[in-house]
Amino acid sequence: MKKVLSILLVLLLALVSLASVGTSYSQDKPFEGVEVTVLTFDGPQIAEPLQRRAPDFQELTGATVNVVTVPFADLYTQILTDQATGTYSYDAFVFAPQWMGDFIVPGYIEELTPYIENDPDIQWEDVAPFFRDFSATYEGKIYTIPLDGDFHMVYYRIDVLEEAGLEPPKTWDEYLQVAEALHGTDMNGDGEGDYGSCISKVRAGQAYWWITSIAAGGIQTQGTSQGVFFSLDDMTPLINNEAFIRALEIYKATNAFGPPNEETLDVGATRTLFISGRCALSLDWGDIGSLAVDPEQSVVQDKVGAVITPGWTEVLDRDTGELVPCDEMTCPLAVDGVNYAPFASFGGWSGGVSSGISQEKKDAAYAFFSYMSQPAQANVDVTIGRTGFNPYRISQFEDLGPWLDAGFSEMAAENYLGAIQDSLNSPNMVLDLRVPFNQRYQQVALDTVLSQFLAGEFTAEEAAEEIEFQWEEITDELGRDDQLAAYKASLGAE
Amino acid sequence: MVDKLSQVEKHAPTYVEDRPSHWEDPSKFVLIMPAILVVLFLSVFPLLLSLFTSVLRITFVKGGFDYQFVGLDNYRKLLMNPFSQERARGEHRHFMGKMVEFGEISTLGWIVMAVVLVLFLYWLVRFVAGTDRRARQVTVRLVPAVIAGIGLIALIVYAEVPALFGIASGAVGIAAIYAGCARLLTDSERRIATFGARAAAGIGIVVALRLLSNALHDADPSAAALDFLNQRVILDMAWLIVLAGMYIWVANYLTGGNTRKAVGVLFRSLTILIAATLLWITIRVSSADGLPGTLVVTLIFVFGGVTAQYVLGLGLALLVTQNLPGRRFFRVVFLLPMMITPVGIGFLFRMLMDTIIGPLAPVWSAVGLADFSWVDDPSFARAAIIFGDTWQWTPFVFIILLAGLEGLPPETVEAALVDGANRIQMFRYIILPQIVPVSTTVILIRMIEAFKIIDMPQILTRGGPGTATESMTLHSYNLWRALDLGPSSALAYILLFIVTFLALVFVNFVRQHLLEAV
Repeated sequence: MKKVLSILLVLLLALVSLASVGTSYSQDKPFEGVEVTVLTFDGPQIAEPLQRRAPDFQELTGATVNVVTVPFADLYTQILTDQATGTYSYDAFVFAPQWMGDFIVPGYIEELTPYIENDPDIQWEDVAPFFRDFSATYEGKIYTIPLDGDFHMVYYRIDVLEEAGLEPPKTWDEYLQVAEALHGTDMNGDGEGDYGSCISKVRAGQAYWWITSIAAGGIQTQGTSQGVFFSLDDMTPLINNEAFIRALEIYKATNAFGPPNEETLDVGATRTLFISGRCALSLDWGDIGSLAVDPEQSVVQDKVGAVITPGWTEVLDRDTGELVPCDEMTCPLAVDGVNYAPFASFGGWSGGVSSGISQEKKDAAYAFFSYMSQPAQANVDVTIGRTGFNPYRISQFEDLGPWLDAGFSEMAAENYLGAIQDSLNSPNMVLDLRVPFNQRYQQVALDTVLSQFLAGEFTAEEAAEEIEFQWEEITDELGRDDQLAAYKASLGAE
Repeated sequence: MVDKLSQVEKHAPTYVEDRPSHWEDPSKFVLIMPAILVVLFLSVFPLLLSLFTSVLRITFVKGGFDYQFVGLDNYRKLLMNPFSQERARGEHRHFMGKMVEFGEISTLGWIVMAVVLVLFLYWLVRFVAGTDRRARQVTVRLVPAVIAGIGLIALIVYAEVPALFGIASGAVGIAAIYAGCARLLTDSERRIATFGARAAAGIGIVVALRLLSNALHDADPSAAALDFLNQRVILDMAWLIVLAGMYIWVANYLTGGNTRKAVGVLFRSLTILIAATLLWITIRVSSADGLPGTLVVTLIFVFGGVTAQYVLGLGLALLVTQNLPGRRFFRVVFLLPMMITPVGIGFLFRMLMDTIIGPLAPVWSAVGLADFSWVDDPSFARAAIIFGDTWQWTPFVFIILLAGLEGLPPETVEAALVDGANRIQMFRYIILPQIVPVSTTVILIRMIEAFKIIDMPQILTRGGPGTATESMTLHSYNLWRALDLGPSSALAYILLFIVTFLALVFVNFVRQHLLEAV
């Protein structure tokens, strides 16, 4: 019996080795047998297209791509500890490019400039300049491949607003008025009252960016290089002032017109509420636009409009910390007296390659991100809501074809892409924080205090003081001069 | 009952003595020792490493980590308010909560604190005096004396009496209090005088050392006595050791030269100090304008959860031991929640509690709670966590108590029945005393476990609303996730200290007392 078994085993081994010899020298599959592990967050968006396209990529190149996911709040730490300890469990990462400084300075991720120079297929010039030059680049070198474009916008229900005779909001005061007027209206025909405004406010999710979107119009007036987070003189946080406190009040005021459990909803949940017809307004990245046309999930096809994030008619005087009315001096970039400051929050999910792995794996990982980003794949993925990918290539804005194929009506596609382009082209666009350890400022300090503020543990003034205190503490710990220099460099301001 | 059991043990045959001991059989020693060393290393090494981490500030740099020694700064951040005059901020506020000023503490808070302090005092005095009667006599004298002493000090502080006069009258007042009590405790006039002298000398030495330490520190704040610990820490530790030594020296006299007892006095005093501090923090954060930090939230989870689990577990165990139909079935059903992973239970309760899209949404709307969010209300959110924890862990208490109940000798119950005991008497005098040992053990295990709760709040509420349901472990995890490793370790060490302290107190004082009482 034993003998028979061992003969069988030998035969099996021989077969397996024959089979592998048969394929491994094939020329058209350059990465045959290479295995690449990609780490990202447990969306399901973002991970979905990576998982879906991995088999196609394997078919094409022979490389196996495993996608590993962790909760969003653990992603940064997971990448950092994996690299710092030299574990190298992951070969590549899909992450927020605003963290890249923390990975580049210690040499954790590979510089991709030479790869891109030798790769015509990626059509690098087609990537919109903002994502090419800001999101993907650090000190003039390219480190990440953009897979996603990110801007905050306000979405509204065209039909509901029209019926009530309301215009899409231009300022945050108008936002609150519209939300209040429509709160309790039945918007999906089930006979129950729905919500005026849905904004995800969960702690340890992706909810801490909204406050910057709300506040930005009141704080940044002189163009992108002015910044919204810190004073350019001494790194004092632009937090404990009338504009930010007013923004906190607006943020909390939206609670009254939202679902009762808004503080436990993550951004996926508010998107679901919006496309199931339960919200009149929402603040979101580009995702609602493409989710709304998905016939399987959405009941609001062709009923969703998008506008640039609302602005302010009063803005912060940085010397006094008080609000002053908008005029030619105080807000030179205002449109009809409203100062808009669309927030390029997050910067779009991007792929980076670990520097601690073999060259063969690096090549395969780069090839996978290049494949994902090439127009043939990307221009389709950005039109699919559940991918979580939003447009970031010039061709994606110019060619309506894929959008119409995905189910957009021409009007919806133009409206949606128009709102993104308005933001992308704004001279007063707001850049996300990219100083070292920005994760501690935003994802920890800001996020915690915001949730405490929403829970009533702080008044708006106390919350502003508390954020300022914690940010100052972090700045002092990390070195004020270094942080200020990094902040100025990230804005391109000297 | 206890006597009876110990008699039984005495008469049990002693097999152990018939066997050769470890020393006579060296092969066992040789084989077991390496294993013990490995286990010791494995258990001690992480503890030491995290202790080391808790005094560092760690940053990630090219090629690994960079660390900087910061002394006890990480602990200070959590325990001390950096701006003693302003409101608490940062991690201190996060951990300790928003503590109200003296003037804002509710009357109920003051009453609870006073009653507990008097009970503690009585407990300590009883230990020294040995008899209840004497302890009562001393406590009755001591309480008004202490109140008078505090009144005197308050008078001195607020009425701005000249300092020297104030100190003199304060010293006379305290001396009088001590003399009054010591008289009752020692019996002889000469001993009172000696005791007073010792106490005065002890206080003098401690105060003088403190002043010296402060002066040394002020003279050169940056000087580091050693590379590892800075001067301030060394001085503080030395001072604490002297303080403890003095305490034992004074207490030793009070207990008539019984050093063991004197050490007992020191540990009981420490217990009172720490327990009273925890209670004091709890009272200050639970007054009208206060908000509990992660410390008090954890205490709420522990005491709320363990009490509920014990009461329910005992009730279910008693039910299952009755001759009810289907008890075998329920014995299995009651155990099921324990088998589910806590994260699963977290998600389960999150769904059940959802008033909009959860499976119970129609039920919620039927009872008029359609637009209600339990997570908006701190007390309700905490109750939900305790509810989930209780749902999961009652089976554990249940199964152990069930084993205890089923192991009871039927003779005692039958004898009580014959004597005509009713059900309540049966439970109070026959059953309860016999399950006290197993009860205290199960409470201890659950208490230690409950302090480490993290999965339920993380899944159910993510510590929200705000920080209302954030436990200490979750707080430490959040700090760790921010790569703030030093404060995270410091917090974990504070938790370790509290758990060890409460477990020791429970085993040494509560359990012992219960075993003696029944």
